[in-house]
Parts: sequence; C-alpha cells; structure tokens
Amino acid sequence: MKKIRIYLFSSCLLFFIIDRISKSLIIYKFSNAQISEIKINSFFNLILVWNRGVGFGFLPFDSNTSYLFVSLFIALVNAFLIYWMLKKSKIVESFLISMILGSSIGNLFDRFYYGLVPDFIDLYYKNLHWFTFNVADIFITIGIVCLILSDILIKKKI
Amino acid sequence: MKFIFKYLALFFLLSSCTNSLKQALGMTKADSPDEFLVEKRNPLTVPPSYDLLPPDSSTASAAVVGDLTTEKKSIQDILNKNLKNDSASNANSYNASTNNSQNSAEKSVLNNLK
Repeated sequence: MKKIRIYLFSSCLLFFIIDRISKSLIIYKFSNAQISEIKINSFFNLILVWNRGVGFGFLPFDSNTSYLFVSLFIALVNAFLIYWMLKKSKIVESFLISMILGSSIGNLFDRFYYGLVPDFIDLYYKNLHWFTFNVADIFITIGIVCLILSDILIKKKI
Repeated sequence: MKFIFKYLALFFLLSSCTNSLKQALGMTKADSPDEFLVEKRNPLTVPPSYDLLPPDSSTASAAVVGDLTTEKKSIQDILNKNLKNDSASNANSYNASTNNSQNSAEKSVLNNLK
C-alpha cells in the first residue's frame, strides 16, 4: 500500500515536471525571440497567451482578492484530489487522478508564481481557432475523459 | 449521469484554456483608434454653381490675384468718392436739421406757454 502511494505521488510529480518544462521552454523562447507566434503547420501554432481565469477563459477577475479566492478554491480542490486519489481502490483510477492532480498543481503553481497561467497550443482550421491550451490541460482532459469512461463501464457491468 | 457533471466541473476548475476563439471570431474589441481622437470633417457639399469654382492652374490663380488688386483699388476709389459725397451731404443735412429742430423746439415751447 505504501509502495503504491509512492508510485502515485511519483507519477504526480512526473506530470508536474513535464508541464513545467514545457511552459518554461515556451516562455524562454517567446521572451528571448520577441515573437508573438510560431507557425508549425496549417492547423497548429505556438502562441503565448496568458490566462487569468479558469477553464475556457471564464472568471477572469481583475481584482486581486477575487483572483486569490478562486486560486485558494482550486488549491482546496487539489487537496480533495489527493484524498480521492488515496481513497480509490482501483489502481488505474488512482493513477488517472494522480495525472490530473500533477497537471492541476502545475497550473496552480503558475497562478501563484506568475499571477497568470501561460497557454501556448493553438489548434485551428482556417480562421476558426480552438481554445488555446497547455500541456497540463491535455493531461487533465485525458484523465477526466478516462475517469468518465471507467465510471460508465463500471455502471454497465453492474 | 450526475457523475459526468462532477467531472466536468472538475475539468472547468482545473484546466486553464483561454478563449482565443473569441479573438478569432472578432468578438473582442479590436485595437482600433480612439473614436474621440479622430478629427471631425465637414461633409462634402456640392457648390451652388460650378462657375464659381476657383481655377486650379497657377497662372490662372496669379491672374485672379491681379484682378483682385485692381478690384480693391476700384472699390477704394468708390469708397473715397462716397465718403466725400457723404461728408458734404451730411454737413448740409446737419445744418438743415438743426434749423428744423430749433424751429420745432421754439414752436413747442410757445405752444406750452399759451
């Protein structure tokens, strides 16, 4: 049991490090080269956008009090995720939660360190751009979709 | 299905994707110039007669300047003549009016005395 917990926290740390490395590289690249956009191909760009709000750019509070309140609430959700990760009986689900937790801590770190979260992956088709996101968002999305699917499969079996 | 909402709320809180879609669709305010700093210009109007339009060539404009100076001189001559005439007529009329006013004043005083 103790070994599993170590693995879970290690995976959490791994996703956090992957997220931090990607963000640091992009911030370094954009701040040194004085560019606003790196075109990769016809549907994928790298563009540095700073987000003050939560998912989909919602709750972009200008006042520091509201921003701090939202950030503290996210920190509370992260604490709940740690509890949930350790409580789950299935190792796969615990691993998925650790993936979500590591990435979420990555975004939370930026919230407190920069005061904003950097987003840089821009997917688009012609003039239609999808929401700009980062590596942490990819892991969070994968984790949540997998958790939903596992819940659906478990309920079908029952 | 309640658990899906729970996961979606979690995703909404933890992720941080930004809506560059709004920018792409032009739903945000663009970096346009301040409308209050734009100089207002009067609307274009059609002149009442095209004969009154000023000539656009430099020679024609010089000719116009020459015409204007001669016009000025002639106007000044007319004004001077008029002024002389006016002063002469004014002097005559003043004398006449003073005589008339004196007569009328005398008459009114006499009437009151009666």
